[in-house]
Amino acid sequence: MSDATHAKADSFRLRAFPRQLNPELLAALLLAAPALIFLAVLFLYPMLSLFAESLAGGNLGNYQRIATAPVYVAVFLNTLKIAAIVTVVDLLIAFPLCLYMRGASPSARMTAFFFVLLPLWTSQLVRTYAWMVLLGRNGPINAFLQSIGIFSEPVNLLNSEFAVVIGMVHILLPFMVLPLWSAVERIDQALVDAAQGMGASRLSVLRRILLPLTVQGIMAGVALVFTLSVGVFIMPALLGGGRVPVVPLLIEQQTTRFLNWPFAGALSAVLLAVVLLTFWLLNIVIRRITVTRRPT
Amino acid sequence: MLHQPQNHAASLELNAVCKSYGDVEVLKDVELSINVGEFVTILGASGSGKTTLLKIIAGFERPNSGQVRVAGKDLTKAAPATRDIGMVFQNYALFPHMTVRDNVAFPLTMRGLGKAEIRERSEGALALVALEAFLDRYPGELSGGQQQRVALARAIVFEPKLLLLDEPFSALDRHLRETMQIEVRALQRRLGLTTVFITHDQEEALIMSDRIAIMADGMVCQFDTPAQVYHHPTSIGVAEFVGNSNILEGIVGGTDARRVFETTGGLAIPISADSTPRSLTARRRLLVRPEYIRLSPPSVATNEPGTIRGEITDSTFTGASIVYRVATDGAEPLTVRSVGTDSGDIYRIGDRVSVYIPSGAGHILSVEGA
Repeated sequence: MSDATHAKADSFRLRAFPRQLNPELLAALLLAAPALIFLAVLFLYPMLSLFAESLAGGNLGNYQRIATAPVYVAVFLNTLKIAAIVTVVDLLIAFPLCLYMRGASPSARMTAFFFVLLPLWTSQLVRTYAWMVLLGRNGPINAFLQSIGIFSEPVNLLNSEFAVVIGMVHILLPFMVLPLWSAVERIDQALVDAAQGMGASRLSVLRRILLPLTVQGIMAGVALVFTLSVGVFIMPALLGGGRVPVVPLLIEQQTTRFLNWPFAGALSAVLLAVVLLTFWLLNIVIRRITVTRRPT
Repeated sequence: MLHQPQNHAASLELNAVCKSYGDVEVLKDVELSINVGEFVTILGASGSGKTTLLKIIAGFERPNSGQVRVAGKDLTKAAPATRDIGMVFQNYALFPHMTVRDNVAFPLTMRGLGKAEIRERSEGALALVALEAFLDRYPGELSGGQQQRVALARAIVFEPKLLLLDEPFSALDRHLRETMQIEVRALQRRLGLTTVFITHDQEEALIMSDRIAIMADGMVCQFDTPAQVYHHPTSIGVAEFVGNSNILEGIVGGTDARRVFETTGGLAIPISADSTPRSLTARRRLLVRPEYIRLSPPSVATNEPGTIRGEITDSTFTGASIVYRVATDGAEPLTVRSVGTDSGDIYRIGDRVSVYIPSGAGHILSVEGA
């Protein structure tokens, strides 16, 4: 057989069984195997079995119930609304903070980082109780509002959407700051200097240089915070006091109180679908912005 | 397209500019006055303070004291956006998310000009740098030289009062660098743009400048034409920084009619009367540029003053010239640059030669820097 035929046969085999013949890919799969197995056993399997249960007997009744009962639709919309508010507020806090950290001295930057990351190092339950103390009728916030004369008697800050949003903004802030910071940090100061030297005001620098160059970090932070907001349970349960209905509360209710696992499975599936749909739309927006602006 | 220089009034004036970071004095009483249409290079090694000076001119840093005046106006405290200074950054600082057209249009957009005018002027500026064909490309799609041209077009499109160039050629390969040096200089002359150019490359400074300000330790040690800086440096630092040099220690001797510089090693180099310092007894340093020294075969008579015999110890062929190291008999070793020829006038290591330093080749430096 000539060399050429050998080569042809080899390339045919490579194309036919690429995975088996590529040792690098094999090594990569082996390295990822523990994580993949872990996720498959502890995450994918329970989730799929929950979904399967929601469709038990080929019955779409659970899904019909969600779609037709106005109360469930309202809870879904409320969940998305709260997630959207939390995401926007976190972005409005994180963006100026990252810009401040960019220009700050290393020690000031470390301090800011410390306070941003603090929520990640403490238990969610502890933080939630801390907010209950802060927002309570006899808490420092009420005392302050009364001392400056805004209110004459304690107002009920707890057990409200406001309390839930404030608590969630706090715990989810790191997930906005971290991706945003990695984008802001990479901006070359020379670009900002150049823009200012050419007559750009601070606002123009922000609008035309900083925002477009950090759009991917913004989108990553938005995606993270939004997904996490949709799934938060403790905050609505403890700070909302039953007055802030969100999907995770419904799911908990169905599993622990009514033991209706099939319906809880359906709620979970719809929530997941809504999040994935949101991501898909967000992804289209990101592509449109980044692809038209900087092809490579 | 741009205003031609109308007079020779100062376009940029720095008065006693000082800058420190903590205890570190980066700039010490910097004085500089640049005429309209002039191309001035600020030449210095890294750490000499040249970059800080540039940032102060552009407005990205504030001096601790002193004044920055552009076209007669005190801009010491003005924000960069209001200074009307064009700048080309070392890494070009092109906006990666904007096309070439939008990059060049940026300063015009910031000035709130009309769409038609912006279009016309940015296309005009890109035509000046021969990049009309790349309007809709992104910076990432251009070569280094093309990016540099975009940066240049963007810096001149708004007809600034002053153009700053911050080591703009350092990222280019040698051939492209030389092309760009000529192009930038030609464009600057054509537009009559007052330009301040920052570099650590002495060759680049000599090629491009009307005048060179040499900086060391936060001070301007000499501010003069390239020829003056090269042939009549005011200090050893300048002499060593600009070009190759032989710096010989010694005293001025001889008679009034015929002054001679007697080096410690024993060379006697005739010097012209007008370069004779007032005090004759003080120790001095003499600068002799390598290209002024002549070599000839040892058979040539050596009774002429300034002639000594020696031996070639090293030889480097650089194309246009050959740099020899010569060990003179009983005196200081010398570096000699000869024009290369193919006629066999090339010495080998170990060859005996006759070394001749003509009268007027030496330039006496002041004793302690200055």
